[in-house]
Amino acid sequence: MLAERTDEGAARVAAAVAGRLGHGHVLCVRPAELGPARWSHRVDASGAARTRITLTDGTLLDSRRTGAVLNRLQHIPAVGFGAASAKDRDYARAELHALTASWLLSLGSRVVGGTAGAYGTAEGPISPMAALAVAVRCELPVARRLTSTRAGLTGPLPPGLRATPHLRWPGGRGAPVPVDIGPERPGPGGQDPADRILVAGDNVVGDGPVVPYAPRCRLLAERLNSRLLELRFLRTDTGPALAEVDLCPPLDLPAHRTAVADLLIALLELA
Amino acid sequence: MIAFYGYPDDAPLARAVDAAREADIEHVVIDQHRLDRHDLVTEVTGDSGGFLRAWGTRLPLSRITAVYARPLEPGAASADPAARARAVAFHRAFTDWLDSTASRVVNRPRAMESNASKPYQAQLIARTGFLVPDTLVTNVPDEVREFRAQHGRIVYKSLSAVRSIVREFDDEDERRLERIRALPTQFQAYVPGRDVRVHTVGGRVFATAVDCEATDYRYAARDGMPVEMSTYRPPDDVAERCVRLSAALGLLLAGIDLRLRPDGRWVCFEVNPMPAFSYFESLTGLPISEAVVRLLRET
Repeated sequence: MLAERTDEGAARVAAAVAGRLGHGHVLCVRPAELGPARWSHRVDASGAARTRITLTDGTLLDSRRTGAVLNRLQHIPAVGFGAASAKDRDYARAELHALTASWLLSLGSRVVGGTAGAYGTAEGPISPMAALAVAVRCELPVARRLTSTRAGLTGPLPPGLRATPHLRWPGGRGAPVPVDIGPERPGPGGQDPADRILVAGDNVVGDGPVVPYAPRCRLLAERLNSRLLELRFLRTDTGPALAEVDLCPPLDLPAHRTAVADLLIALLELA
Repeated sequence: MIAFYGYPDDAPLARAVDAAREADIEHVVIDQHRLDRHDLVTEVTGDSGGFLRAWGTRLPLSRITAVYARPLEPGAASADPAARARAVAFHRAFTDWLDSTASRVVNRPRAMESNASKPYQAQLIARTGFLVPDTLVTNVPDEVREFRAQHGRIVYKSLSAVRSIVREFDDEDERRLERIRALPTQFQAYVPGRDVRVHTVGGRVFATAVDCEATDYRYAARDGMPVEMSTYRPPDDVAERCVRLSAALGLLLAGIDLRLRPDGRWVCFEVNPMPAFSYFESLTGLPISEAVVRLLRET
């Protein structure tokens, strides 16, 4: 489990997996532990990789003995670079991300979470807007969203939408500052479980009016190269409208955690 | 309509713009120096509502059929916070649009990502049949000593997209090897042979042989070493593999760094998703910028 200590969803998935397999089968690695660990990452001439990571407490994480990884990485801190220049700290962070990405890529389908990208993070390089644009191509009904470099360029606000300026500036809709225009409803998080779909491998978890979209949600996961994502919908007069694609879902619903635990255990059994 | 995105004084972009102008192709240059003075509206549900406003003209995004994008690091920021915010928002929104538009994009930002981790990219490169350098990333000095003993000659360089000069690891480096404990560092087996830089533009291949004694020919001048470049015709199977590799990485334009070993086998070091082809074009006459524009026009 590659997750922050504060990541409750990951902690509960870890507890669920440990409850079914035994505590010795689950190792929680915090992002801040990656930098100080001893790394040996080999890529041979044919591209085959082997990684041995020895954590500061002596625990060895060997890629040949890793059955599955839940990747919840957002950011790897450059531990030990506190006194370094900003440039050196940025360099250290970039190098650690590059290394982690290579390690995770070499684990292939054993990794759940993330887009198998070159930064190693769960969210990868895909922005929320780009993810929604891919959803449009998967024929999912997507809520209208615009971005404008000046508030006044988009004309009068259509009903149901609100404009959020990038910085506070006088002048209202005439202000020379960028705005994001999106659904008026408050952001996701407290939405009804019936408006949420989780894709975990081949499993799609959800009920209510969004269920018919399950196959397209799976297609979206495939196109985003991610085996774990959550889609959150708004209810509109014309039916559900996708408001957000989350590549690092909170796993706050029991059914979501069960699906992820099932997937991890299935991978472990395959390994 | 073709759009060019980047700094107009950046040589590869400038050459491509010149090629478009010479071919009398309708185009627009979106100048990264002036993003706060351009405007952009994008809509996630499609291009129909989006438009670009540059040089006093409003251009619907749906009219842009192809883009050559060479986004570089932002320059000096404006003192005006609103202008700064507009420049940042423009770049972010345009990058998102490049990743999602149905228009041809050379190259999509998402496809350029693999270069952010060299060992990551090496694993992808090897899937297309090229050999890659035997690589070790470690912060354990003894591992490096063992790796050096195994290979004899080794080099070191950054593993992320941060540019570094490839240097051969020598006894002086060995004396300061303890310093790698602070950060895992990338070491590679030295690969003898002749450098060949291959540029792929769609399905076309432009190869340059590079003859130089330096470990990293890009910086040979700093060490007072001459570099000779000449056009080169790679074997058909190697050319075909280069095209396949670029396609596998989602790149319509790529700079592929190869080395032909004395035993006749090809090693691929990396694939540059935003190659500075102008350097090779100016020294060899290979018509790469013209090919880029032709590719953009073929939409």
